[in-house]
This record gives sequence, structure tokens and C-alpha cells, in this order.
Amino acid sequence: MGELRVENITKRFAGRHRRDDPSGLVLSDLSFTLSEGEFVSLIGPSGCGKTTVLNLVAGLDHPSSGKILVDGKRVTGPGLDRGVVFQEFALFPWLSVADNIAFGVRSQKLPAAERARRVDHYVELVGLAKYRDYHPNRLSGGMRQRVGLGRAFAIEPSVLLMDEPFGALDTQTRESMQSALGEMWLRTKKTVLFVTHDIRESIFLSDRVLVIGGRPAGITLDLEIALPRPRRRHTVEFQQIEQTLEAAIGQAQLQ
Amino acid sequence: MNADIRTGGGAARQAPIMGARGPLTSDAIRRWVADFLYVAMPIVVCAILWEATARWSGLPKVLFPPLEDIFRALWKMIVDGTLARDLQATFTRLVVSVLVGAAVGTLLGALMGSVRAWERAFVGPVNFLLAVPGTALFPLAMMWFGLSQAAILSILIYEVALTVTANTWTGVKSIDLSLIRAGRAFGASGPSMFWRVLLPAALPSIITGYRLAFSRAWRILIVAEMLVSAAAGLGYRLYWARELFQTDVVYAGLLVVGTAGLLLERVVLRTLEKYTIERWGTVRALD
Repeated sequence: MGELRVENITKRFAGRHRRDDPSGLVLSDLSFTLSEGEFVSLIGPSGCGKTTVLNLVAGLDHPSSGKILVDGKRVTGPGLDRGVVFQEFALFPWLSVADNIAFGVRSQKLPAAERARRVDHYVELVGLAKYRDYHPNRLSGGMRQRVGLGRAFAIEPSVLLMDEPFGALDTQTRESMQSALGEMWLRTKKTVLFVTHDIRESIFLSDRVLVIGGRPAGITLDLEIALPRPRRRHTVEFQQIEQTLEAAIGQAQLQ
Repeated sequence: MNADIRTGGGAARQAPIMGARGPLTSDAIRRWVADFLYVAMPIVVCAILWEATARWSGLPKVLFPPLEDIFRALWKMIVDGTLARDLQATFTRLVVSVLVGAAVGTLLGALMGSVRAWERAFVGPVNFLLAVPGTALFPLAMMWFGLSQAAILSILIYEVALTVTANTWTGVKSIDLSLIRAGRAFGASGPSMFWRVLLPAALPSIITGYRLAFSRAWRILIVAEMLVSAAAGLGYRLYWARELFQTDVVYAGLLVVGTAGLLLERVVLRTLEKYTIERWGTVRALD
């Protein structure tokens, strides 16, 4: 439960041409694996294709070749075995907090009692029990993304996919959300694939960090983060890892 | 989406309801009185100007009856039951055609906005028909259905359906793509995408379509009743009053037509808006 295998995927976008690369090839022979319960970040410079990788795993787009397997089953489209958290939140404005979180659970067609129990559990997990009947327009940015997290957690997927979920938030909110997500992850021990351009964020949250780079893109570095949890941001080890990753990304940009 | 970002993810905004401390504070009363004056002022000014013109401009009473005559005619209509009968006839036609037309239009517009085949098939005919004014189709309807209820209803249903289709179509087409992606990611597809995501997301445009359709339908209805001379109805009353030179009845009738239209809009459409798109924050609350 919760194993993700990405095998030799390539992605070509028709019409996406660069002067130095007329093929439109964005990803080439990219492979990586996530074991059950691992929190793995995908980092890299802007436009490197990390969001593309996430969309492919989510089934919102299809690879040009290669395959993606979740728990041994091939990904052919979107599915409730994967929960997605979007950078722009993408909450449904006509639904309350509780109903947003329940959206995917409804698609799972559980009996009403079980559905209610799940929704209550995850509303509480993301810390929004007091606001469960509010509509998104009355929530702050951080609260809205908590709803986004709740919606993805609530379907109890095999893998959670997060596309720069805190990118639209200010720095303070971002840091408190990182801590909140860290706690949620510790409580649920889900497999998470986390896309970000924020190196410190990736170190703070992950067991492993994958650096994507090159054109067309591949994995240029697979680094294990051997820091104790709960993570502390201002240790020497943290900074060393940060420097390593910065260098790796800088290298990737030059290619 | 509102870009009101707070730090710490803590505070939520209170939606504007009544006075900060409840409905009967002096603040709230003062605001209510002010609102009332804003609404009443133009009416009072118009009434004064009307009376002044009627009494002192030297225009014949037939053209410009004083308010007294108008209200007396109105009172007569109320008392002898003709107003009730006319309102009932007109409203029935309105309700039937709006319900049928809106249902057809919403369905067709949503299909056009979400399924390419439907859009390709209907974009030509819809745009063609949008260019033809509804009132120009009166002779056609009268040829087909004669001077009957069916002629009036057919034109109304057609107008409502067309307007609602056009607005629903553009509304569904302009839904934020991220909402559709989220819908797909969380298990919606085909019919469930339609009902659970597309319709609610397009609701502001759909309701705008309902507003437009409603006001068009109301005006066409009155004219249709005049032309087709059905047995009862506000338009019918206006027509006959004109024929008989009862200008006071004409003005009284116009007053009723305008007021009824206004009340319908306030009661039906505003309530619909308040409990949906305003509560969701997708449209700003203006009053």
C-alpha cells in the first residue's frame, strides 16, 4: 500500500519548441520509486518539468512513453488511489469546508455513516473543526490550503501528490503550514510526492529529495535527508544539505 | 478568488449580515431609514413632477391624467377583480414559459459548453437565432398557432431558452480549468462532473442568463398579450384601454406592469442569488 514506481517516462509536448531543442521533449527516460510511507520532494528550477511529472502521476496527463505504477497497478487516468493538492487550491466555492473535504469521499460511494466519520476525522486533522460550515470565500489563504490538504487526505489514497501547495502563501504562513503538514504526515504516515522550488521546504519535510534537471529533464540527484524528526530549520546539518541541493540545482540549470 | 491572505492561517472574515450587534441597534435602524429614503426619493420626485405637469401644463386630461385619476382607475381594477384575473393570466404564462425555457436552455447550454460535439452542432443555429429579434417572430407564431395561448407561450419559451442557452454556454466554457482538474482528480467524470462541478461553477453566468431571460420574457409577454389579444392579462388590458381611450387605465396598467416585474425580480431572482452565489462569495453583495 503506497508504493509508487515511475518507469522510464518520456513526455513530448506537441508544439512546445525551443530553438535549441525542436523536438518538444520535456522529460526523457525519467525513473524513480517511492516506498510506502516515504515523503519525497521533487525540486528543480522553474520550468524544468516537475509539475509535468506530478500531472503524469496524477493521471491528469499521459506520458509519451513509459509507465507509472501505483501499488503495482498501471496509471491510465485520474483516480481515487491518488490524492492531489493544487498550488492554486482549486477549492469548490459553492461547498463548505466540510463538503469540500467530503467531495472525493462522496465519489468513493461509502455508506453515509462511514463517510461522515471520515469527513469529521479529516476536518479535525487539518485543524478546521470550528470552520467546517464556512465557505472558502471567508477563509484566509492558509486555511484554504488546509481544506485542500483535507480533501486529499480524506480519500485515504495510496499516494498523496502535492504541487507546490504553499507556493501561493506568504512566508510566515508557509512555514506554519509546513509544520502543520509535517504533523499530519506523522499522524497518517502516507506516501507523499511533493513538488516544490523551495529547497528549505523540501529539506524540512522530506525523507528524500530528487533533483530534476537538464533538457530534456531527468533525475540528476537522489539525496537522502538523514536528519532527525521533528526537523529543526537552523542547524548546521540543515544548511549543509541546503548547500548541496543548491549546487545540484545550479548544475542542472547549466545543462 | 479573493486575494485576502492572512498570516498564520488563523482569522476568518465575518460575512456582512446586519448591524454588528444585531438587527435593532440604532445603527441598523438609521441605515434602514437611509436605504428607504434612497428608494423613496426618486418616486416622490417623479410623483410631484407628474402632478405638476398634469395640473398646470395645460396638456389635455386624456394625454396626461392627474395621479388621482390613475389611482382611481387602479382601485376600480382591484375592486372589480379584473386586476386579479389579469395578473393571474399573465403570471401563469410567465411561470410556465420561464420554467420550461430555462430547463431546456440550461441543459442545452451546459452541453454546448462541455461537449465539443454539441457545441459544433449548435453554435451556428444559436448564433443565427440570436440575431433575429424575438418580436419579429410574432407573425410566424400567429400563423402557426393562431391567436391563442399557444402562440404567446411558444414565443416566450423560445426567447427564454435561447437567452439561457447562450449565457449557460459561455458560463460553462469559462469555468476555471483548475476546478475541472480538481473535479477529475477527485472522482468526477461525465454526468457527475456535469452535476457536481460544471453547473455550480457556472451558476453566476447561468443566473445572469435567467435575469436577462426573465426581463426579456416579461416585456415580450406584455406585447404578445397586446398583439394576440388573449382573453385576459395585463397586456390585453393595456390594449383595450388604449382602444377605448381610457388613458388613466393605460397608465394604471403600466404602473402595475412595472411594479410586478420589479417585485418578481426582487423576490425570486434576488433570493436565488442571495442563497447561492452571494453566499459562496463568487459575486459581491451589493445590498
